[in-house]
Amino acid sequence: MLFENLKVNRVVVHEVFQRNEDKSIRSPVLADGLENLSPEALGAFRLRMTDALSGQSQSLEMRIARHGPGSFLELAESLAGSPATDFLAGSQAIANKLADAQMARRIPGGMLIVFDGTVGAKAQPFLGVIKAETQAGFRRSKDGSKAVVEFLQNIFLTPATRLYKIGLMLFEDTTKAKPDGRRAFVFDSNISVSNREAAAAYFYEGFLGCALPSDGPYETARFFDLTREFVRKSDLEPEKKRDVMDSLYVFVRDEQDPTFTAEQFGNRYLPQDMQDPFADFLNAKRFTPNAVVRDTSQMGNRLRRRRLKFGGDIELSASPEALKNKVQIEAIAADDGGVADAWTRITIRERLTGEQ
Amino acid sequence: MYAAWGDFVSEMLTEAVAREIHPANVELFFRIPLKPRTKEEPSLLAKAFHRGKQYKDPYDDIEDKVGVRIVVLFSEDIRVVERTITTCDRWTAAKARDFEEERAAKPFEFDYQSLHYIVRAKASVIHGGVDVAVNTPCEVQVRTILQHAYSELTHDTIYKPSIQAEPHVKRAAAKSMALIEATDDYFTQVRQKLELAQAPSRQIAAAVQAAYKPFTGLEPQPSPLNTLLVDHFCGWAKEGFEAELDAFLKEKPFLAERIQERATKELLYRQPAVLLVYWAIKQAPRSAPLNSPLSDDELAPLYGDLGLKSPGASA
Repeated sequence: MLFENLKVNRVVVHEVFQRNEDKSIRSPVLADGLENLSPEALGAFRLRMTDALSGQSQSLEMRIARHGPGSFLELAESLAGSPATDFLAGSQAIANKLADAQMARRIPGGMLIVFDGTVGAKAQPFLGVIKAETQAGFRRSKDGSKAVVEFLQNIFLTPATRLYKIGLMLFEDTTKAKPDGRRAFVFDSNISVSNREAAAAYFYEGFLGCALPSDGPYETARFFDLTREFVRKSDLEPEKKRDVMDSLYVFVRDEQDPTFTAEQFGNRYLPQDMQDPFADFLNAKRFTPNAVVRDTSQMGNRLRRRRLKFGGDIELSASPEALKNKVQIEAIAADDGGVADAWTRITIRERLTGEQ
Repeated sequence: MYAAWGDFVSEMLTEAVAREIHPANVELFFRIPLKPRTKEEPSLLAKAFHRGKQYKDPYDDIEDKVGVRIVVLFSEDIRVVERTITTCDRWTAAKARDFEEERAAKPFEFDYQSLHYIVRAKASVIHGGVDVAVNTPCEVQVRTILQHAYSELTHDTIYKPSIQAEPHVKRAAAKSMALIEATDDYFTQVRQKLELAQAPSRQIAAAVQAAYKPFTGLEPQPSPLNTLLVDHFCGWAKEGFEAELDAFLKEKPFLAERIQERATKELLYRQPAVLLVYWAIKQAPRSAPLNSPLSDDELAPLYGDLGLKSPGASA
């Protein structure tokens, strides 16, 4: 999903709080009107949205799990495009819903911004919510001839993304029965922390009624295959190809973050001038630019064995660990510097134990 | 009277050349400002008596009583000026000397080179309050800046033979003229190579220039920034850019609104090349911002419009 042509229509800001010490809800402070933002402010607001939702490992499309009466989806759908008074009232209901969902006392309070608008070339309507924790900071300004430093509390939506979470319901076709025709996108910087259940579930699960997508195993395997294809077809040096493949195994199998994006891999392991072609390649294969849940359960043998080819007729098959620890491969240039007579020296720190 | 005719000829030629080379700037095309010069009487008389030519009526026959000198950069440009001299309907033009013909006639000599025309008024003209009689002559000299340098160097000693030049001086002058002719060839090569190298970016600049107004409805205000943008971002415009840009803009009509919103306040959005910037970001969001003339902050809104993470944003 490409968040282009994002237009923000109406914005309401409420404030929700940490729970009281007895874990009872401290009532949110509700706004009594719509915000009136300047074009600059709206521009910055839009930028925060696209920066957060686009190509980040903490931004992913989720499955809409709850869509019955009282669910976030139902509320959101009744709000998008509704008259101003209904929008205000509905957004207050959303604030209360968030206050309900923040069950644990360690969950901090913050601003809840409810907004609607349209997005995409087709200008599809959406309803979005941002929970933004507040920060403190300084501002230097002129007071007459004197420059003074002011201390500002309760500022929010700075570029520090770890301080906000975004939920966005996109209404592609509301004539279909829920939840078809609706899509949910969530951005949460905590989502990539390993103990995600505890950290962020209240937001996407309790509040938005979403669940992590179930296509993780399929998408992970697909990412692995597509990237391997891309590297194989690239014009990298054979040694460099092997390095990138090493990295791919580590990236897919060993990293601990529950989600990843193709962009992360490109940025970390591909040379600068191949990053855009890599993105184009995946885009052409319709691989999502959003985050994917890392799940290698369906990758079968692919992560267990690696096969290296030498010339047309020789193969070496090994587990990634053995290849790394027990096999040393050196490319030896031909005496005349040509390609035809170049050869490879393989050292295997193991006895020959048989033949298949 | 001669001065008035000289003025008239300079003005007509400036206008005609300006039309010929549009949109290039005629003031840059003429390397030395056109300034008609009349000959003082004494020099005129000296010329008549010492040149070794036979004049029946020196005062009437000498055709360079007023002269206009045009200095251009390349020998090719001389022919552009020649066209305007010979096609003007206010005078008759007669070629007095042509260095290319002289070269052909005397291939082994390297001497003073210039193109001379004598233009004579076809009908009487009133210019600057002065009556110019029919048939008043004016000499027009056209040469390259290199040829001009040579003539400045040798003017009084070689061209005017009142002082006989020593053979070794003549030899040295001939050597420098030969070098100048070779240099002109190299200059022409340099120009051709420059133009070849510039051709793609010029095409792209023309393409965005043509697309800007129909797309945004705004009048473009190209500034030096436009050239900088084209220089940097044209790397992502491949063959067939015009058609691709067209399709791109059709696909994303909303970009027009964003450009309109910001154009009043920001110069960037009044540059036709802003369309090329959008295009480049779409093609290569990661490499387009590297070494760009625009900072990440300036690029961020354009990324946002396209739904992409801005270049400076943390992953």
